[in-house]
Amino acid sequence: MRIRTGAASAALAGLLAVAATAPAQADDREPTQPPSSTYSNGHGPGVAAGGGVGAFVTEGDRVHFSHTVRGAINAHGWWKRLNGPAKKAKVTVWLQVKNNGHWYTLNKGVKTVYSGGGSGKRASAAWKCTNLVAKYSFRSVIDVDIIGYPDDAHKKITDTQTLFCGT
Amino acid sequence: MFPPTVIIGLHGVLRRAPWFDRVVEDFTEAEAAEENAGEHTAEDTSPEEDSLEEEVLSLALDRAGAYGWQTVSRWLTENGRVTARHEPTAWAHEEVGGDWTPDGRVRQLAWLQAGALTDPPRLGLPVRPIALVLAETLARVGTMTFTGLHALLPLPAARRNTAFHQTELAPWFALADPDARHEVVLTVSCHPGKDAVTGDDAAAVREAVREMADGAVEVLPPGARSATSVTSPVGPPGLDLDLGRGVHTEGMHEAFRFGCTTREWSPDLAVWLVEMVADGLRAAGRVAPVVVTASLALPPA
Repeated sequence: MRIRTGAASAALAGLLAVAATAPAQADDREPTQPPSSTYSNGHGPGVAAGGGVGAFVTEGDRVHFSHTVRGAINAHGWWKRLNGPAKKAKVTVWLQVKNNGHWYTLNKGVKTVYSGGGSGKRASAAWKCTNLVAKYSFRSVIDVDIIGYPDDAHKKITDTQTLFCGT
Repeated sequence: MFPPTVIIGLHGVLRRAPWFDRVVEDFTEAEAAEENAGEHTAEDTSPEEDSLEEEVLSLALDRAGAYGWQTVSRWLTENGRVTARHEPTAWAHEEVGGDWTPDGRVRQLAWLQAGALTDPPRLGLPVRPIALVLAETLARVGTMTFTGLHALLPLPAARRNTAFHQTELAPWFALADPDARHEVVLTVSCHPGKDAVTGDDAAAVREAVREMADGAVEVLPPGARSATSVTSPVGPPGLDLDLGRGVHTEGMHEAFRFGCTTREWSPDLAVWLVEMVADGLRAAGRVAPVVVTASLALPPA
């Protein structure tokens, strides 16, 4: 059975996610914190994450150079249902860079997808390097927001990668 | 400039199973219907175009996981709580794709790009596991006429494998039809520079492969009149590979090639040849990022 939450709750969840991230590509940007809680049930935030959704996995690759786009780095995130009623999830991936000891978001990708992986079932965030000389630390943060059910409040952060990619 | 990156590509001609389009159509029609029903929200911002090949070949990740090769970061959520986290143990998956254009020409049917795990450096590189899961995924789709394999190998990122030696596989590959004969071309390419592989290394590598193969492969002498000596401006035969087109291989040039004959032809055998060449390079003191290819000298009948 499909659970439909409507555009309003999805938009609200999106606004919350945006509010948790700073604008990218500005030198004076504020450090970015990943979202601390996710729950898109159509009734707004504040509901404690809990049971009911069953089991699922959040997966992601580490920030890496694109295979096809010269001088670009990518990060992807997706989810897989293991059991329970969940069908779709809004997956958000933030691509972040470390500067002066703080993490800043360079770009963000959002996609509402079925369980799985591959190009059609994942969120992606890319960054076109300004040069290939400067060395920075990068990571991605992944949030899986199960549509219609509380999921979890865990920040999913991939291992830091050091890449020659200017920001 | 790039961190240590492994890329494995399988080349050939793919004949999709008769049922394949039906299965894919069912899938895409269901997705399209939901998009029309407004299931996708306006805030979806992921810009990538969907690719059938990438979609299907991503199953290789699941296959790798089934073998116990963890390749992505993974968090298990049960009843609202994260109960487990796993990090890559075999390789760090980055991207996967392929070209299944149904025109009967040799195409790069499947490739996989991965970060080599270096903390600590591993014994060898995950060439065989990646080639295996790609070949198995293609086999789910249809029948592959395999013509070649290429491998980008960041040799400095791995330690010499003292736990397993490629010559130990010689009895495995000797167990094959002694009357069968496949002519295969092996090539080595790398970036120019101080530590570059050159044609001067060819003799040492060829001899190392001959010795490791222990009779299961006949290495052809230099200058042997064979199809392997045929050069082409577009690269070795049996491959849909243009190093200049690849983000990670741009600027690489072929340093040398040599021929051999084998009793079988398969991705399994091609991996063995590539791994023996890599070990031969390491033994010769050439520990640089290289592309090694193994491909049929002549198209299969």
